[in-house]
Parts: sequence; C-alpha cells; structure tokens
Amino acid sequence: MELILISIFLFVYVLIIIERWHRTSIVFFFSTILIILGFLTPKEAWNFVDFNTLGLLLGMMIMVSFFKRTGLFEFLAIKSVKVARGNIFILFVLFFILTGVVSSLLDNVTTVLLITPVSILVADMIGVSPYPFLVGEILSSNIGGTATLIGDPPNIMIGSATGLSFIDFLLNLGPVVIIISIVVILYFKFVVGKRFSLKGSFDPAIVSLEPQKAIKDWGLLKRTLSVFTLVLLGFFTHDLLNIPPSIVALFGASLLLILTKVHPEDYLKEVEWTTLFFFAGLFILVGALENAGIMEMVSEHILNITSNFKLLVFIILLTSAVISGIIDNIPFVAATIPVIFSIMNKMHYPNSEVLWWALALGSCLGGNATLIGASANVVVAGISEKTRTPVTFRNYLKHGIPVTIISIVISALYLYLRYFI
Amino acid sequence: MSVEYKHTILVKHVMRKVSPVCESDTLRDVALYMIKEAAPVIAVVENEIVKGVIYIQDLIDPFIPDYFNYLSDFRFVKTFGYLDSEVFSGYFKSLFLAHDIMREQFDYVEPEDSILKAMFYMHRKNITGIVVIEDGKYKGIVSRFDLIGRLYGTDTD
Repeated sequence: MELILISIFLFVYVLIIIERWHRTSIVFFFSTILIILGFLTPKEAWNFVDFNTLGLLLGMMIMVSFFKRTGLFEFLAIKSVKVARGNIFILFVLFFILTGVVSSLLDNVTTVLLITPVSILVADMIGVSPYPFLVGEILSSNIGGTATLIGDPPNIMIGSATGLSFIDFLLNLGPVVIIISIVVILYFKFVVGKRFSLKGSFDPAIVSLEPQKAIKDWGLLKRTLSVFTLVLLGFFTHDLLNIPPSIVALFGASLLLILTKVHPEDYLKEVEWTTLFFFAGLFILVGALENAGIMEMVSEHILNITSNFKLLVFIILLTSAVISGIIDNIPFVAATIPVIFSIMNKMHYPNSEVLWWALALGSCLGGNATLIGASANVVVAGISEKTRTPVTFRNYLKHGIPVTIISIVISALYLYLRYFI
Repeated sequence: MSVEYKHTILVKHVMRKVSPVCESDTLRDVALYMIKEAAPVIAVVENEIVKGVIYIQDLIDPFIPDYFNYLSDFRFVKTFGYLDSEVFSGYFKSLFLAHDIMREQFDYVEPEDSILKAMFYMHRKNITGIVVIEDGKYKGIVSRFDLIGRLYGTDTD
C-alpha cells in the first residue's frame, strides 16, 4: 500500500511539472482519490489541512488587493526615478531594493505585477533597455521574499508547521538576505554592468513624471498603511501575544473591509482561491504520506546515509535549491517538513532549527536559478514578451544560475559561521 | 419632444454604403479613408469575402506599446520622453497593413435585422459602428451617429 501511495504522490508531482492540467485540479482530484481509497479518513484529511497557512495567505491576499488600489507601488517606483537624479545604475539599485523590500512583506507575484510595468515604462522613457531592470526584479523578488515569515509561501509553511515567529525569520534570515542583495548588486555593477549598459546617465529633464499623481486614493492609502502597520506590529509580537500569524493577517484584512465600508465581494474575488485550494489539497496528499509512515521511512533512509548534522544542513540547503530551481518548490517543501520533523525527533540535535533555515534559504533562493523556478519569474517573463527585449529562458540562465550559486554559497557560509562556530 | 415609431426600424433603413478596404492597404490609407467617410468601422474584403473589420479605435493600437495593458493609470506622466518621439516618428504607421490589425472575429447585423440588435452590439461591445452583411456579402455599415439620427428624428423618412 505504501508503494501505491508513493507512486500516486510522484505521479502527482510529474503531472504538476508537465502542466497538462492545472496544479490545483490535480491535487484536488488526487486528494479525494486518497480518501476514497482509504489512505485517510475524511476527518484525518481535514486535520492535515494547515488552516494557519491558508488563513495567513488569505489575509495577506485581501490586504494586497487593497494596496493595489492605492497606487503606492507605482508612486514608489516613480519616486525612484526622481531620486536617481539621472544615474542609470542608481535607478537600477532603487528598483532592485524596492522590489526586494515589497516582496518581503507582500506576495512576490503582486509585487512584480505592479513594479515591472512601471520599470519598463521608465526605461523606455529614458531611452535604455528595460532588460537589466527586469532581470534584477526577478532576482530581487525571490531574494527579498526569503527574509520574512510572510515573504514567500515556503516560509509561511515552515513557520506554520514549526511555530517559528516573524522575528525568528527576520533575525535569522534577514542578515543573509541583506548580504546576498549587496553582493548581487555588486555583481550587476562590476560583472555584467557594461554588457547591460547600466553605466552612464539619463537626462532627468526628458522624463516628465509627477509621483504624487500615482496615488489613486489618498484616503484608502492612509487606511491601508495604518492597518498594515498594525498588522506588522502584530507579526512582530504574535509570539508574545500568543496569536497565530494567520489571525493577525485575517484581523488586518477584516479591519480594512470594515474601515473602508466596501463590498467584500469586490476584494474577495481577487483572492487567489486556486492557490488556497492547491495548498489544501497538497496538505492532504502529504498528510496521507505521513499517516502511512512514509516520512518516517524517508528520514530513516537519510539518517542511514549520514547523521552528521552539519552535512544534513548543507544537503537540505543544496537539494532544496536545486529542486526549487527546476520545479515547483511548494510540494517539495510540504513533503520535506515532516521528514525534517522525523529526523529531529530521532536525533534531538541541539540548535536543530538550522535545518529549517536551510530549507527556507534553499527553497526560496533556488527559485532564481531558472525562469520557471518561481511564479514571479514567469510573470515578469510574460510581461517582458510585450517589449522589444524579452527575457528568454536561455538568456535568463546566464544570470539566474550564477546569482543562485552566489546566493547558496553565501547562505552555506552564513549558516556555518553563524551556527556552527 | 417625443418620437413616434410607426413601424420596426430595420438596419437597411439606416445603413450606408461605405466601400471596403483590402488586406494589403496600408494603415495610413485606411485611416485617411475612414476619416473622409466618417466611418467608425470598415470591412476588409478580399474576393468579395469579408475577412475582417477595422474599428476606428483599432487605428490607435499600433502606437501603444503592448505592455501598457499592464498599467492601470497614467496620471503620473505628462510626457513620455524617448517613447514620445519614437511613437510619433511614423515608425509604426509605415509598417502596418490592414491585415495586421483587422479583427477576424467580429459582430455584424443583416439588413433585415432590427436596429435594436445593432444598438445592443454597440452598447455591449463598446463599439461605435457595425458592419452589415447578407449571405456572406458585405453590404455597408451602421454607425452610432446613424442610429442616433434615426432615433432622435433628425434623419426620418
């Protein structure tokens, strides 16, 4: 029976990769199949669904739909042009940082959907190729999203399963994300800058922009920022207050609906329900594996290969980076979480949370390796097809792979220096 | 002022004959012709078969970069720098033919249809004119102005 279950899970993974059907339809269908075949009872299936993850995603999605209507990100992007004062490289850096910071607080796909078109427009207006800005934004969205609990779905899943707090993520992953960002910026300046024409300047006078007018609704902006500040405060203190992050996010979303007196349907229809159903189905699939003791078996196999803690950390870092670069990291992270728990239960390593940091770093940063490594990459590539310099799979690899290698090497060094010395 | 309808007004009562264009006509020729005829829509015909239609708003499309669809607003822009000079240099105008921008999927009405049908399409699809086709052959166009003239009695029998 275990063999059938493993085969089904691998089959589901393959179906997700080949994209013949939507991934949500696949996991939805097979999660019901597993219940019908008796691998799980309906109650067990229900218990495996991580409502904390779903709630956090839901709350953040609703808040993002408010942010989208304010014009804030367009304002920040346009303001960057003024701040750059004609220096193309500084403009690149500002867009890079803006994308990274926003990605660390809101979802990566929305971030790039809002910032990328503006950066293309600005590049066209000043007469430079938008290509380096697009590549920079792809890389930055994945790097920035690694820094916080809410920045990327793998982190949300890890945080929910382990109880690691927003501050835990920030203090443990924030520093390495900053270091990686600086190194990647220097990489663009000294390694590829000339090829990308990032040197030089533009005439600020030819660009007639009024950042203030990018804000569509000042009242909504004030309310959204106020509530979001409250939500951030909630994330920082949720551990002390003993409130799950999902409740903080849902509180913020519901407070915005109340304060703005809008019809909830207008905002609820922008929620990515297919993503939420995908997660729910995935939790059931992985739960079935856990229920059948397969995760225990996998962890035993791993420990038979090595029980050396440092080596395990680097294996997890490297494996998750490689897999995330090629295929969807969410099913991989969902399946790896119970395996790591099993390993931890068997070995009782001191400082074992390093395993989680390795998984978070690998699965988030690995998404930079290829154009299909993360959803934000695919979105930017799609938008770039509407320009004269599209980001192609092959061209992107020339930057994605070196930057990912740099990121993983820095992550490995960081983990070693911080936790093993 | 009230308008009295003594009978159903059909498309044939308000349509007008505007010669179609060919697929190989340049956009410049198409644009000048549509302005001259005050035609909000024109049929693209080859060997008596209607291949597509061009709406007046379609003539603006070649000037707009495709990625503009991802931007919701331009209130923050006054002039577009290099993009302005590129767009107005005539670069796009010289490249496009009627075939390049015509819509191959389009709504149409027949001469014996009620004008209410034409009105519905214009309202629902936000278009200012519609082609008239009978037995697969192009017959003419009906514009929003033609309809308004008829409805408000400025263009009666």
